[in-house]
Amino acid sequence: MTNAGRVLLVEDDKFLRRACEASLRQRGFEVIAATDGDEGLRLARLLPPPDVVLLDLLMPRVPGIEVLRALKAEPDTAGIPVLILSNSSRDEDRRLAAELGATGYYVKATLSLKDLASQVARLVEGYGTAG
Amino acid sequence: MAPPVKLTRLAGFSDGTAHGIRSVVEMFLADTGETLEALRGAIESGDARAIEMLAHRAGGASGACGAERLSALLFEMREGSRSFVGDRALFHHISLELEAVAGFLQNYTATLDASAAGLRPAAFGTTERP
Repeated sequence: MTNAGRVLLVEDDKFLRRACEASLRQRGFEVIAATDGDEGLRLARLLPPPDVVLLDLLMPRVPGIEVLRALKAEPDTAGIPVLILSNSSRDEDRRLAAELGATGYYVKATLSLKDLASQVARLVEGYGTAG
Repeated sequence: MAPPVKLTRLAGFSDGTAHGIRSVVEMFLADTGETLEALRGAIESGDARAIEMLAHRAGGASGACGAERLSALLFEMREGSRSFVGDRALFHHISLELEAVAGFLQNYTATLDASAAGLRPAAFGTTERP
């Protein structure tokens, strides 16, 4: 299968990580996975940079919101689209993520792996917003 | 009483195909079972931070798959402020609910297997279909 793009998945829950990874790989994406925010930041700074970052919010070591803040503050990673995967549907969490530069926000309780992969594909192709 | 898993949610999370649903169910039962074992350990050792983190993880995974009661119990555990006895009692409820979820999903995937084999699936214990 051709490489449809490179996705960094930062998610501490093993099930959600494996399920997202399997879904994205099936659609031809290369997936690199991190299990906490610290590892996620380290992998995002490696070359070549990922085309898209999928980011959980509540994680050990460095919380997702701090990962997002750091990515958007660094010139080398600021342009990478970040999609948030969260258990929280609170407006203030969505708003904060948007203010910090997240491209989209998905609540896990309503998440569709198929829709997520489609959105990743749109972002890799260079267009598409929100989640 | 509503079934322990909302099948429309499960199908919506996965790609909706029999293969996709079966794959998600297998991963969910294996990985969430592991997380709950770790949660049991955290309760026994009184590690409040680990309890919060593990309950949050498993609650999110359960909600994504449509196991809404299980998810609600895990988020209740995440909120904390109970005694050791209270945590153990709640964990007992969580374990029972996971058993119900596992039994339900195993029966459901068996009906998918029967359909795939061209056999007529037995009536499934819910009126809700994905």
